[in-house]
Amino acid sequence: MQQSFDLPAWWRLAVIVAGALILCSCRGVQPAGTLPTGPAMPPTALAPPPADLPPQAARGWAPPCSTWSPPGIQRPWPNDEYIFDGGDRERPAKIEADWTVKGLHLEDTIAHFDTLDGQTLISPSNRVCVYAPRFGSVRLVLGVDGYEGKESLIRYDTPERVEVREENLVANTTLQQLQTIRAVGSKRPSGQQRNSPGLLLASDTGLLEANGGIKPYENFRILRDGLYELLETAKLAERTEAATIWTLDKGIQIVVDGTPAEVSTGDARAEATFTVDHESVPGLRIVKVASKQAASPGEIVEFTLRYDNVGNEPLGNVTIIDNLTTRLEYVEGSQTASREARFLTQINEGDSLVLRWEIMDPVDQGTGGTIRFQCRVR
Amino acid sequence: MVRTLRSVAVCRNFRWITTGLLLALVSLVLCLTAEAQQVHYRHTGEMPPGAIGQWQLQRGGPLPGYFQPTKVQVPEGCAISFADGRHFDQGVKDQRAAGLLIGQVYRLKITHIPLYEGLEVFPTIELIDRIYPPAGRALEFPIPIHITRDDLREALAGRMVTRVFYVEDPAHALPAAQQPNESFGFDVKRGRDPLRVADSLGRPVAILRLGARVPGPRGPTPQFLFGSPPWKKMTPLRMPVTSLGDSPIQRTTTPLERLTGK
Repeated sequence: MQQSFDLPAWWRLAVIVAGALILCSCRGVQPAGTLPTGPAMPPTALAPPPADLPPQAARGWAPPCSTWSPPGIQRPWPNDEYIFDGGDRERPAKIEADWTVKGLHLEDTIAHFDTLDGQTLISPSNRVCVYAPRFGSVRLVLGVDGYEGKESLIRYDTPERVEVREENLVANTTLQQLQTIRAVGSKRPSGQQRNSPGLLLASDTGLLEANGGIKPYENFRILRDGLYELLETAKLAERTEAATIWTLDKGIQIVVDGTPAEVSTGDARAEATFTVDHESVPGLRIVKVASKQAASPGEIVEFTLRYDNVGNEPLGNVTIIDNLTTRLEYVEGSQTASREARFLTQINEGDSLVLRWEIMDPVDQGTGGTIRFQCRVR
Repeated sequence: MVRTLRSVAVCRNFRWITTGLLLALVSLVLCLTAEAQQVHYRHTGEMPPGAIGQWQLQRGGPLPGYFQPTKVQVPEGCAISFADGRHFDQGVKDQRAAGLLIGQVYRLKITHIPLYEGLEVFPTIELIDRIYPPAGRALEFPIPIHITRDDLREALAGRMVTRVFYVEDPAHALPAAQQPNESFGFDVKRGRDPLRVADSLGRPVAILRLGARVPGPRGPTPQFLFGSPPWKKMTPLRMPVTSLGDSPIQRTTTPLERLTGK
């Protein structure tokens, strides 16, 4: 005899739903410090370099921040000791019709540009990091703060009697005659010891500051006269890396003739070429270097921006914008520009400043300028 | 008699199926509720010195045997001495750098306290985690242990001060400027765990404890010094100018030698 258990349809559906819920609830625990997977380099960073640059100089390659991490956890690690900058986290940024940027979070670095057919595109930068841990402390004080007790006088009895006290003292003074056996006098020192510093130390005087010229950390030909040398690639990569890690969400933006320029190959590298889409081939190259690659709170870091017109026509209304991170505080009055420029600042959401330079005169072909400013590390 | 698969998969008694499903749903709800809490704190700031550090060592990783550069800073004029064997070594004024092991407890002696001349405080430092600076730059980024005047005053008044140092979470960093040789500090009320508060602000790395405990009349005992764990002498790369006055270069000749000319 064959037995059959036909269940109702709603019961089978309930079993399937319950099983699906249980299976969906079994989630693996993500280890601390694991970064979301995604492309490490943005498309713009992998763009082909200009013809006069080696490939490694224009791709903005950033070395790993740390050399070790626990198995299964991506670098850099741990995250709380680094300041990250770049990329487009969480919701993607969006450009409105009136050029309003929405969805731009802290640490985001994006570039938006218009195409010939009227589209506005967004290209995020790669994510860079700098080792800059900051410490704090939490204190707890325990102990007896006060004492409250009840004490009362129960009885106080002090018997006092009249006493007669007599004390007889006998004189016991004795004088002894002593004769002087030697005299103590003061003499001047017969010798003198003189400690003189070494002659080599006397000539060890370094250059404290150089005004009006090229500073030691700016000693690159691309900053002096705008020409790129292959021999300076390695050292320039270190300086530009130190510069890019301090920029926030907007980085350097160039506006030519009122039109936002498109960054052709990204800005995290030795030099960046910004172009506007005309029949001719205009171009603006900007180089950013920093005086230090590591800094503690309170130290001052000086940044230098060098821009050059590498196109074949003059550029007008050149505007350079630098958005500082929360940990960088602009030193008031420290900015200088070789060309006449209008300098504007605006407080950003990180309680820092957005620095903006509007170059007054057009930048002729083959010419450029330099901008310097200082920031204090918070 | 051949049963179909359906008959095998389904139990005879539907009440057992219903009970099982209900248990599974209850377990699911409980798991989701527990996950919402996310953190179960295993340690508290009131645990004895060394307990948290030893727990950390049992977790493994690159903690055992690593001498974490640490910079102890006290108010100006105070001197810091580290336990070396059964005694304390020569005190160094204002600040001192040393490499300390994770999980060990180090006893310090602080003397020459302004306005409290003659009194001494014996705090302890326990490292419960380390930091990972780039290779070759560990001395540039030591863990700063700041002992303030108020800490010393509270300890001399007989109170117990527990200060938990943490690495600030950069995602929630305070937009305030931090001066050199200073750090942000917060006080918590009684009944709150400073370790838990520090964990909410960042990653705890060190615990400083100050109290009124002093060594006995026969000097410090091994128990008082927590066994005098080894430490390394280190020199911070950014030494302030004020500390150069005690450099041994200026003490090669004593005043007596200058007079005698020997």
